[in-house]
Amino acid sequence: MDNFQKKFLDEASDLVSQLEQALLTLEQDMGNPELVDSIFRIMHSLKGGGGMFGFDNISSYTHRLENMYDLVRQKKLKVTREMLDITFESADHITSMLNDDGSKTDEIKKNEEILNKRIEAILDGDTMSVVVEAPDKDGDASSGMASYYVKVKPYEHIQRNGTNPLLLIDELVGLGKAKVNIFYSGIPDFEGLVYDDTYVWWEVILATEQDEDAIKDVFIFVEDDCDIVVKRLADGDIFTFEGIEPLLQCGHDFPFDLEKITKLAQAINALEQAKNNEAKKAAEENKGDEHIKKFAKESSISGIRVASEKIDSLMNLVSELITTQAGLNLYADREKNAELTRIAESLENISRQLRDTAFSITLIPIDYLVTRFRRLVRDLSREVGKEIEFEAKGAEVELDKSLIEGISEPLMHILRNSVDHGIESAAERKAAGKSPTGKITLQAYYSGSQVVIAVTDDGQGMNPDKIKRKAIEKGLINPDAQLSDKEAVDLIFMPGFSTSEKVTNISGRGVGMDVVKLKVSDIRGTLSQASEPGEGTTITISLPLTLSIIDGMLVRIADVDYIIPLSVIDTIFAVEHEKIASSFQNVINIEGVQYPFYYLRDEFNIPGEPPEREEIIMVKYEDRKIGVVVDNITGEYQAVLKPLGKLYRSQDIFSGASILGDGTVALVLDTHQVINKFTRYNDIV
Amino acid sequence: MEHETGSYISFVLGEEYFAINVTQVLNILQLVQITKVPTAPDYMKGVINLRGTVLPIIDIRIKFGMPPIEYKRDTVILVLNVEIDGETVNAGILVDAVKEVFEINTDEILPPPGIGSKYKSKFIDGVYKMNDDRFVMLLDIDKVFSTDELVMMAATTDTTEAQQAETVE
Repeated sequence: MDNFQKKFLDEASDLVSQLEQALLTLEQDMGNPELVDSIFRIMHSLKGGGGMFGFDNISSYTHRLENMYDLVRQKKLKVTREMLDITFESADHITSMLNDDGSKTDEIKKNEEILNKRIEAILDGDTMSVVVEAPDKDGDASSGMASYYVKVKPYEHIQRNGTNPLLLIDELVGLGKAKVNIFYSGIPDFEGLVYDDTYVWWEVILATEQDEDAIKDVFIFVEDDCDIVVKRLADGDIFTFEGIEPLLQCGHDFPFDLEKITKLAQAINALEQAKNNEAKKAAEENKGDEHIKKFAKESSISGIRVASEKIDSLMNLVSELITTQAGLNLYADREKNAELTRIAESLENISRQLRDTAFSITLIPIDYLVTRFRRLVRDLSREVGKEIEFEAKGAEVELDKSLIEGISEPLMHILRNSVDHGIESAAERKAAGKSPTGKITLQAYYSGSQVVIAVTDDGQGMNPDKIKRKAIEKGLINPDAQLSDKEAVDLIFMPGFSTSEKVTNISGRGVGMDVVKLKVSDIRGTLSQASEPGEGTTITISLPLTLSIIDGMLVRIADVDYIIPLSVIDTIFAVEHEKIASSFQNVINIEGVQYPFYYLRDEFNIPGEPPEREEIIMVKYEDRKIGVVVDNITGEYQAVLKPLGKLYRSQDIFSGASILGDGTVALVLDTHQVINKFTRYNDIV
Repeated sequence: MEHETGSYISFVLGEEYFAINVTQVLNILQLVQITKVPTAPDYMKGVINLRGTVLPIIDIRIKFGMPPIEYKRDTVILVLNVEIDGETVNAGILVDAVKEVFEINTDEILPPPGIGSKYKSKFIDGVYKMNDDRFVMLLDIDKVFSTDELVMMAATTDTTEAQQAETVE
């Protein structure tokens, strides 16, 4: 196969996924001419490319489909379900033709014959199709901008909690356009002044595209430390309102005349509303749906294709640069040469930016998977005869490409489970007083240095008693074990557990949640569930943002450096060695709370005298906090993760190593594994 | 025993001379600080930084049943290219001193010493008599690193760990 053919294959599979996306959108909005056009174009490109590069089978097949959509374009045919089904299957058919190495040619031919017959049936017009009209949708999207009045009156003690109220005001102003009014009058005479008390307060008029919640979020951590008033003044950007300017001009200590401002704003809003209604009428004739706009926008933005090996080698170079940078910083620190320090600092600035940019290249939005999942849920739900709606939220959340590869299969299993076991049949749902259409939601969001992906269904939930019985039956737990409902449901993650009473085609093929959990932990993720009988189930996956560079805490035990990922660290306490040595059963009492802990010097068999004061790092383990004791803490460190290699594969308590500025190697601790490994058996049960 | 006529590099472990085919030697390094990996078997000394990659270091004296290495002025690390389960991996071995590179004549390779030899003879491909009448043992380094070998070693450490765990309880 020559280079051009390879390129065509790449392009063609891109086109097929575009086709799937367009079809899914078209399914929501039957007969939308723009979508039909874009499907027609995709067919056309496939046909043209196929012919040019010697894939005649693809070319001739897509030709028929193209004909069909051409008739739709000419309004001689209407889009039907059958037509969509055929096109979906055609997408699969084209993919299998693209991937065929000659071994499945017969199968493909047979499939093609069937599809061709169905296409001809449509073209002949003798199909009993139900014409679905495009539903009328109101494009009620307001312009997004709104104006608010925000009053921020901090209590005197706010700065003692480490909060700088000025930063809050900065953040608030950062949300949009703002005018800030400051009130000094509360400042006492010099004698009465306490240096860390706060006496001033602010009023802000803010025009922003963010909603009220976003404004309140600015103050989320200081709610108890100040009075906050947020009031919506008007729709739109108040600063552009005619006649508003004199009202916004005010000196310090003279509050905004809210009454006048509100009145004016309301008057102007009413005027605009009238204008808007006219515009809306005009827009309705245009029948623009959000979906298509979005789709059109997405297909117009195009990037370049880069081989993933090139990205990998870019990332490797960046990793080396960061390591070298750490060495330079260390040298510059020691030399105390001002010029050298300056150069090292500006170089660090650049390499940091380079790292972030290179890093962002390796990130792929979850959207990449969503199309596939939408298709999966659609196909599976038809197969089992259930009505299921699939919704994806936060599809713009980005993940490292290797994580995307690693997460696809576990998510697929979770979705299969939801379709198969979670959602009930339409009849059962009706009996339970639910809408006959089930709903599966995939939601992704950032949480600190983690990405969380949650799959929620509104199905029957998991029955803790049933699970417990099954676990006892399989000998996984003791018959008289006392388990809470959550603990009982958690049993599904145990190896060898599968509740499905009959093995179905979809899930329950022996691959249970334990395998899913294993796959997720392979990419350093964690899995958890929340299930309510009758209400539904949520399976949550938490993932690190990246596999290659982590923010860590550099610690030392004897003469070896270790790195603990910041994402797992909760708190750090300094403790006397005496207190640790005298502790009973490795449990320590800190500030009135009992924490189990692991003394790494002992666990690692490190000889020698420990220091008098040691550090105990509380790390998150499932929903508990567990301490690990180290000699001392060096500081935060940006660690480029390197594999320890094949020879050390049984040392799974280390997720890798990282090279420090002075060229020595530090080991990256996987605290989860550390705790698993060193837990004496009876601690868990 | 087939050997490609080629160069070998000889080194010292304790009192004995050993040699490895130069095609498997990537580099000779001065001794640097080795980061010990806790819970690993004794002969796995730890890891070092080799131009930005993490290189595992093996004390093959322990593998050969000799006392562990003592770090001296001449102690060096030989960086090798070894094959483990069909995969090429870089690893370093600690040796007491490196001697010389010499040409070998395949016909003159003697079979490995049989029963009663001091060292584990399964790692030895053959013996070669040098010009100064000294015998050099030609190592099959891939065998030293073979999985069976490592699994065996790992198993021994596991039992010691289990014993330790028992004593704790």
